[in-house]
Amino acid sequence: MIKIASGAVFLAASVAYFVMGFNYSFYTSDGRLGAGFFPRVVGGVLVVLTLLNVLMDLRARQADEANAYWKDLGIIGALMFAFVFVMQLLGAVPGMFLFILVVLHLLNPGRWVTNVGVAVGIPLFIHLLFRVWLNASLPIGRFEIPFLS
Amino acid sequence: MAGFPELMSGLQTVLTFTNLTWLLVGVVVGLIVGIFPGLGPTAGIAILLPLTLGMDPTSAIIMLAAIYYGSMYGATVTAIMINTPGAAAVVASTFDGYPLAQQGRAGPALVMQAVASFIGGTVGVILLTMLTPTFAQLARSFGPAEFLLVVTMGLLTLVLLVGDNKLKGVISALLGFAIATVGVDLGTGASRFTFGSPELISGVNFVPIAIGLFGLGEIFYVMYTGVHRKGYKVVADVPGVPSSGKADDGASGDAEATDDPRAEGVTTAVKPKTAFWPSRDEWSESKYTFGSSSVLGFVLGVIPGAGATVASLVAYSFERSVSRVKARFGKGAMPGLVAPETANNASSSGAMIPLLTLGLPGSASTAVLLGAFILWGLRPGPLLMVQESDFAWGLIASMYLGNMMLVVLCILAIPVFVSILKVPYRILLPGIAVLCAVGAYSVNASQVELWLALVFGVVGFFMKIHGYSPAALVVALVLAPLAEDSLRQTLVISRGDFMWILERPIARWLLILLVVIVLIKPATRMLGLAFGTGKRASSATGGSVLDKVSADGDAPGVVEPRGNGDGGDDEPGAGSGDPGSDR
Repeated sequence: MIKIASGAVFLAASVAYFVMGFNYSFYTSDGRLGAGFFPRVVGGVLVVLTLLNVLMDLRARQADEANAYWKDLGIIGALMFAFVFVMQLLGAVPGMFLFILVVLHLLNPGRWVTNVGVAVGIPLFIHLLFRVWLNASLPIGRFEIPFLS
Repeated sequence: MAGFPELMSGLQTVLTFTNLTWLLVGVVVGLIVGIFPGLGPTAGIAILLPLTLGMDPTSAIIMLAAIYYGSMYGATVTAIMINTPGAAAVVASTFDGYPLAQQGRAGPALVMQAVASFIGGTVGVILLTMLTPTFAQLARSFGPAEFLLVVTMGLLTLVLLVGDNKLKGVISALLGFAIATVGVDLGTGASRFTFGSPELISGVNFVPIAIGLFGLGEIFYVMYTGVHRKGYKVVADVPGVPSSGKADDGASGDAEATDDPRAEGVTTAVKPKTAFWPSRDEWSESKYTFGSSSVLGFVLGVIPGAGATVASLVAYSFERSVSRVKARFGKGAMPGLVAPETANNASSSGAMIPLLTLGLPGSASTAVLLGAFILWGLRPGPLLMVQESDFAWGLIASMYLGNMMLVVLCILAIPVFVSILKVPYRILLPGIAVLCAVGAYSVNASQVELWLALVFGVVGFFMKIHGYSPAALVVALVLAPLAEDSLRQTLVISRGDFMWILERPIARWLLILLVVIVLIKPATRMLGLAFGTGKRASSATGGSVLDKVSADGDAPGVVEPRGNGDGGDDEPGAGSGDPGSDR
């Protein structure tokens, strides 16, 4: 079912892309290829192929993988989205610290020393490497916490 | 000899303290990236790309290229030790590498793979040195029609020759094309699919997409297969690597932290300590394999889209048919490990020819590398070898030195690198995730790109488990602007008459090559059926060569904790048929 659903999402995206392609002209006024040429051609082929793909998946329908770790995946996936929010709010280092601590608490329970060590060590290393040494950008957060953002 | 005076000048460029330091950093990072589960060269290069923004372009590209070919060395460590190819390009190395390790020959297998990789890499770079000027000369006579045909050829090879599911491969490539149309159309000046966002006017950056598809997508996939709970089965018989008889000693993603019944059976297999160096017989059995696989790997590497995965599998198949120890193939024959290892490293040098002379990437990793070139204002193509001669030859020269560093590092530090596998994946997972997020953000300090990486992480995961090709998507994303421009120019020059292409000699040859690419797989299958070789191939490795790519070809850092890599593409833990990711 998940396979068919993912195929359906690609089909929906293809249809949307193809339809929006009509907002742009196929040819320019002097007869050259317009901005809509590629979107319409690529979109049209995509719609046909993704539809065919969904139909083929429907024909060869299989049960979803029973042994897959969907629950863990869902939790970590949700935590990753939360991590991006927190990083935008508090900045990179606090966001990374909280994310790693929570993930390790779930996956590596009861080992507080290791978990806190990793949760402190990795953000610190990334901060030093990106911000201090290479002068690259990291999310600074809304509050711009000194030394940590 | 052609190319060698330029190579000397390239050596002068690279022989500075700064460049050598970054080269060393690149090869070490490449080794680690190859070994790390859930982090392949594509994600590795994409994540580290922002770190190079403050560097000199030559040093930056030298480092990123070193990550690319260094990861080929590292990926084999996991192929041999845990039967998990760290990259699709080393899938064939599991066929005999893992049985060797199970027989207590992991040490000699790791030494031999390092030597094979070195010989393949070095022969590849020598051929690259000799042939690059010729190819660059040829490329200078390319017009838009030829470029259009070469782009089509690259994508077709990726989708038709090495993909698992052709339909899903084509859909993936078209999705890449679709994403590439976001932003201002340079032909007309119209803004397409920007939804009023200023961040999208210049288009969608490939870096967050590559990080999402290959970094975050891989993390999700690894979690889906349960490696964070189950760990790996490490064959710990390498001298210098501490081994343990317990599953719960913290080694290799230990199982004690979970009460999950599916975690049963996770063990660290203990083998008696054995020799470190390959035996005289093993050297003797493999002596011709080094040469033949180097040439084969290089030639296949030059073909855009074929890349290291096809090269390693074809070399394995060729060796299996000519070796005097063919009966032992699939059961632990050293030439069965040497052939793919030599070929995949030779092909990574070969892949530099279309990349440097035409600006055509043959895989996701080289697509990201191409993106790095462009980020630095270097446009690979016919004029690069002339206008940026120091840079281009510096890069080629650095590959000689990089291969030397790698073989020394590999042999001397095997215990250290194998020890990385003993870090439980659940500890690595959040670290890799934050690196991906930070890497996606820091290219342009863009929140949009951070979200884009996350969304494409989810997309990449579903693509992987359902047999789509993230590699085809990334390659198409990078090539689409070139394809669109070439098509426009071709139509203008030909006044809309495609038959005009046939009047151009090089274009005619390219068209013939295109037809060969389309027909080669059905022809191989028919020949296999006619001569009955398909069955024999199956008995040794579980499938014919190109089918093997489909069944086992996996994305970067693929983790397959159980079985022998012979599952279907929809099963967790089985390959997804995306070897173009190469790696």
